[in-house]
Amino acid sequence: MSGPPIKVPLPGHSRLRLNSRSARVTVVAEDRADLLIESGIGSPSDVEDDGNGHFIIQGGSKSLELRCPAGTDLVIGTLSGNVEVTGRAGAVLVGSASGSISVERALTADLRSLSGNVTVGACDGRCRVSTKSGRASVGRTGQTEVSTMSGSVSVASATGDVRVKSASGRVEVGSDGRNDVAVSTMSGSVTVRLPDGVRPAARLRSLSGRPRCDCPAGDDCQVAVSTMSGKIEVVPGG
Amino acid sequence: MSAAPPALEVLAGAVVFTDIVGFTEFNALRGDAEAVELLSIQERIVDSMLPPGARVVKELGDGLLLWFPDACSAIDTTLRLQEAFERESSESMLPLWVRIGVHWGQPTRRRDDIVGHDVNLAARIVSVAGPGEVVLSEATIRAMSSELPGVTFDELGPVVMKGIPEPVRLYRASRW
Repeated sequence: MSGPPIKVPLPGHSRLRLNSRSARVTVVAEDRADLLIESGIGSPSDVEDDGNGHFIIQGGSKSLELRCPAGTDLVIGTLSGNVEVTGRAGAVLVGSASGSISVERALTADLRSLSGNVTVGACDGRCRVSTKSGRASVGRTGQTEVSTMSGSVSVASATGDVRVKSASGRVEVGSDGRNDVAVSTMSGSVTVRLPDGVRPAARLRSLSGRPRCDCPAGDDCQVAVSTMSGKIEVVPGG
Repeated sequence: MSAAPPALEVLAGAVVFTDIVGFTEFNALRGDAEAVELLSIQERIVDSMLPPGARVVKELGDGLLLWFPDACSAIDTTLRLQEAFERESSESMLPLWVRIGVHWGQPTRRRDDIVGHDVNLAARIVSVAGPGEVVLSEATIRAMSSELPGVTFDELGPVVMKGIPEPVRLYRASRW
């Protein structure tokens, strides 16, 4: 049963480890110095402090809602509970069986859900997303790796290398044209969008689809796309 | 009077599950002949890389259940398997996208098979892995008898898995 909000002083840069089975987990990373647990635990003794800036919070059946300093590292595990992180977090690791995951902004991210959708607004560094049937949507990001079975993949704007593996979902990647893009799918269509004027070295392979590159050939970046049957397009205007 | 049940043989070791991602889609797209070819390639690669003492316990459709008597050997071999699968995939159009889960435990031997909670847990772990990944439990890292040069372990967090009461701390192994 949830009691009144609980304030926990933090020693500086901290890592929060949050577990929940079916309850939703909501974290707001904002301009503050302490940890405020608004709901989801009964007493301060439910917060375990290992003395090294790592805090373990075991959620119950009610939504776990907390506020922490911007830049805090988060390690979150749920079975079916959705996870939402808003604000600017540090390194974010989330694993969920069927819950959806949404991260507004993180320093780095490693997010995986079997059937839930995964959404990342912005990731300053390396971003890894893995889903089985959920949709993966990444906004502004650095180095990016995404894998899905049947969910679609969208990477809006990457400033690092991008690697995508998808069995059957549609894949759309926007790259800055200075880094490499590698996409492998079985049946999903693939669109890679590059800034105007970028001249990629494109290696496009499709067993039955028709690859098309509308960008002039060059060696500004490598674009390697292989698909069994999907359409492949490399187009300017990213 | 009934006879006493036979003593159970418990084996300490690394339980490894592999699974080809997208195999069903591949089979539907390319037909049975190419699907069988993909399985044959996987089998050839695995057979050529298993160290002494390790074995293929059984085939599970497009996946395998492997057993290793040593944690270091299991981690090193599964990483080398992923490297070989990646090479094969990039050289051909065959999508040998394999995910691998590893857990150190004490399964019970049942004829040539192994069963028990640790086998169930390893099966859950592979479902967390993405294609090309080796994901392992903290118990596997604890069971390592020595360091593996060049191998790093990135935490994936406390993963809550269906049917497993407590969250399990998982790691991704990779070679740099």
